[in-house]
Amino acid sequence: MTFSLLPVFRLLGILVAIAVSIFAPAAYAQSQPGPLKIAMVLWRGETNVEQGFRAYFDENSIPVDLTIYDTARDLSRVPAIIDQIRKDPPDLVYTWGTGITSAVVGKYDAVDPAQNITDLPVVYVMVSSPWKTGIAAPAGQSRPNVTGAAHIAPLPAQINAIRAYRPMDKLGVVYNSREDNSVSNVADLTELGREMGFEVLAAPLGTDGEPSQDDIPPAVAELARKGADILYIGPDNFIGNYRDTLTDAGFANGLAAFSATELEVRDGHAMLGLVSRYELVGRLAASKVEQILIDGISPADIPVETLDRFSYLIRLSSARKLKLYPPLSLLDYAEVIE
Amino acid sequence: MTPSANPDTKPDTPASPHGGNIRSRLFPKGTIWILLLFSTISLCIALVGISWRAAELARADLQTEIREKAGIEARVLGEKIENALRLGIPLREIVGFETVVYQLRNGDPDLVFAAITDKAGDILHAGGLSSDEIATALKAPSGNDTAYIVTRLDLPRAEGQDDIEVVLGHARAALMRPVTDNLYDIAIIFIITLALSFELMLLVLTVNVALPVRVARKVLDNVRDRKFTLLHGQSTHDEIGQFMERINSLINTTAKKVGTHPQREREVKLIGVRMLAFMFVLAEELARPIMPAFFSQVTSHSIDGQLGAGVVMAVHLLMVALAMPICSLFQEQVGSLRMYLCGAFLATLGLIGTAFAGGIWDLVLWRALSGIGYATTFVACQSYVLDATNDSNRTQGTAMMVSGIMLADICGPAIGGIVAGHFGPDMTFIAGATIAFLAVLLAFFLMDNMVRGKTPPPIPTRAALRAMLGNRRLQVLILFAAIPAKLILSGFLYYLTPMILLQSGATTAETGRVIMLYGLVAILTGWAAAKWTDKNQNETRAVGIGGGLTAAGLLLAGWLPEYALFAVAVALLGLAQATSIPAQLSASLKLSKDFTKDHGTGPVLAVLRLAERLGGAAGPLLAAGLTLLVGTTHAVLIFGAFAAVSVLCFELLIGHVPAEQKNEGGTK
Repeated sequence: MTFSLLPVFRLLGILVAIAVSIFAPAAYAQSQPGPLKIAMVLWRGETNVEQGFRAYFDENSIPVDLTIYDTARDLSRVPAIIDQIRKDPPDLVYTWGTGITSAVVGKYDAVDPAQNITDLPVVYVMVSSPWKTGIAAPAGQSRPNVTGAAHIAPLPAQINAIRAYRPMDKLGVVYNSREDNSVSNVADLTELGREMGFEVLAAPLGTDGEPSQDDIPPAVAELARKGADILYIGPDNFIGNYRDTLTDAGFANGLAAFSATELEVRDGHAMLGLVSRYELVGRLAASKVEQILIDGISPADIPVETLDRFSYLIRLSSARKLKLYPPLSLLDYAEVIE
Repeated sequence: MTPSANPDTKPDTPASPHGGNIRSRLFPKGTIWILLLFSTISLCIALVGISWRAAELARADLQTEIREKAGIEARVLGEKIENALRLGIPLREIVGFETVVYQLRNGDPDLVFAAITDKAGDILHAGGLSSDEIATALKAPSGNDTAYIVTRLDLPRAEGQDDIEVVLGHARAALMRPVTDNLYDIAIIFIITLALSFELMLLVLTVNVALPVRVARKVLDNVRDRKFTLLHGQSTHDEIGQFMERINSLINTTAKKVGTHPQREREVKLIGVRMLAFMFVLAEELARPIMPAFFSQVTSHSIDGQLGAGVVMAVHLLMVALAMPICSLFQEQVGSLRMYLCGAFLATLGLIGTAFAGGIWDLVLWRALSGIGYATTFVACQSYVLDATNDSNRTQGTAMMVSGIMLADICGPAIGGIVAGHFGPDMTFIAGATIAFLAVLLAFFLMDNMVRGKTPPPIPTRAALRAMLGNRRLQVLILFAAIPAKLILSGFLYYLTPMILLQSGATTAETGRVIMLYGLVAILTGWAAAKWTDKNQNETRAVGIGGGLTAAGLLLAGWLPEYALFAVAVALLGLAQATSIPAQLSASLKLSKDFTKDHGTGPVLAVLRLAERLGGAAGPLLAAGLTLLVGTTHAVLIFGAFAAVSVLCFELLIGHVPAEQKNEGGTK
């Protein structure tokens, strides 16, 4: 009688595999105790978003080790940063803005493992249209290692915010036609205009070469000539960089500016804005990092979200310059900045 | 001793040789109308006087209240202005004052205008009215006869700047608004009180005066004709009773001499069933306004409160729907009195249990018992009416019972709301249980023994049932009249009407008043409509007229969905149902005469009740579905079209299908 141990080993093997699958940490959960290592790829140094991000971990007593990679508004630096990240891999990569995020993770249907990060979880912030730009996968699909926090209020809410201040039939938009998120935002606005009864007067820059700061004032003057009621500043890095040029051109032509992002009102001279507060966007992103690295949830299972509350900002100095004072009812809930 | 068909109203009784057709007359003649008119006018004058005095007394308090409210509103406006000025917005450049006033007016409809003025009285900002209109209003001399109550608030400003003033104008008519609003409630209480008094007086006078006098007349006519075969058997202990007892002894003496054997003559107290129907529905309806909240509270420990309340109410309705046809099948074997006693006892038990229910399961049990009790008492009353009436007055008998039920439907929630407000929900259910228990005691007195249980009719054979169900005229009645009537009632009146009226800005009280109109019109017109039906002996015509009125009302409300037109539509529905519902019952028995002759009325009524319940359950579902698909107003139009098609089919088919064959009712 021969007795083979093979079936016993097979059985043991199966049991061990089951035990490992049950007790092993989930995909990206941190296996070693110690601070969470996070590489932060930023557009223009640290902003309030990062302050909120840090504050979340401090308040929840979660130790973090943050490594900052500042592109200084230069996307061509991203490949070198990715190489650096690969040499000393962190637990997670944090990216700021549409341009950087797109360069780090690629589009959902065109990922290049050689150029994009695919083996580390990535959490992005300040991407205004993650779906339109292909950074997020369409509904029903997900990206295995990427999730993030969007920061733009829904477009109808933005238009209502403008109209709560003053009547608006013609919306002037100066934008960089070389930025995907700006192009898709203007397309969305144009479509929304048909539903909500306003016309988008678009002034694309950079249609024949890189746009320059000097292109902005004539574009604004042209919009004023066409009868724009207000200027719209969307999620556009180029306009963001030269926001003062745009608002000054607006003042010169009697046009106020509305902004969908916070800095253009808080640090610039846009007259009003319906915005996500940057600090809260940072906190939302930090909560997603916690879910991935502490709770062991896969980024694929964490939805891309935006905040559900927005701040109405009014810059009174700009209102005064234009003699377009805010209505009384807005003063009850708007944050008025001098 | 033979029970007369219907003692209270008897259209087919031959005319009296002494005074025309007195028995068939619906209303009495003579000075009673002058007295009624006098007492009503006196009552109204007294009520109006009391209301006016109350208004005068309340006016001072109301004025203070309005001034306080105006002060708060002025401060709100003032703070907004000060905030804008603090931010550096120049006074004359302030934007959006009108919008803020508009928002304030949304919360306070009495506020007519608001303005910011400078010390010279010039209007800087205005809202509610134009600057010119406000200036005119402010120039009017102050006093109690001006159109506005003006409130002013100074807003002191920094040195070197002129002070400004917030000015508010409230409508002076607002001082009377709480009183005029209450007048509607006073009117409703007035109507309910009148209805309850009428109910009580009707019972007392009929039992103690009308019936004994009517029997006495019959006995004396018999004596006049020298027959001496009747004795007065309508026992009362008052003067009429004592007088007729003496007459009885004289008749007995004379009868012995002439060799006759007189029998005691009495008439069925059909009016009693109206009071009994009123009581069993009142017992249930008292707690109607507090049921959802109370059930939610009791069931909240087990499941979501709203869902719990829904489950409990659904179980109650299910039990009513199941018990009604089942009880109809056994009504003749059990007898009206026994059945009523059982039902009222179950209802008492169910209502007491509900008051002390501690969780969802016992609450479901108690409500199920109440449901069975409700259905049983309903069937008992109906069977009593059917036993005590014949073809010539059945519709009137049914209408009498239905009007008792409708009266309770109206009075119950109104009285229950007051009871609940003062004593809490538990006591409201206990009050219901007390009424149900009183009904048990009253039933012995109000339901005559002679219509208690009879020999049960033979159980119908399958073939007989098939023949009854296959009776095409009965099918037409059920499909195109009975089901649509209940479907429209529950779908339109209880679902769409409140939804549309509330959506269009009517208050709950205003909506309640419109719905109440249904019951009022039905009560006021029910008896006359039934009398007309019985007189013409054309129940199907009455059913058709009812359907036509329903369709007209619904199409009108769907076409022009205004508050007033909804009230008209609801009133038409009340008239339509009062005309149609009692006639449907009579028609169903008439159409299946061959079946009921051999097997009793139970199975026919069971089928009719089941069909009605199905229609009643389908109504809200259909209304909700249509609302989702086409919106509420179009749903009313579709209901109207459905009513029109139903009545058209009914009219076309009821007269032209072959009449029931004689041999269809028996075994073939």
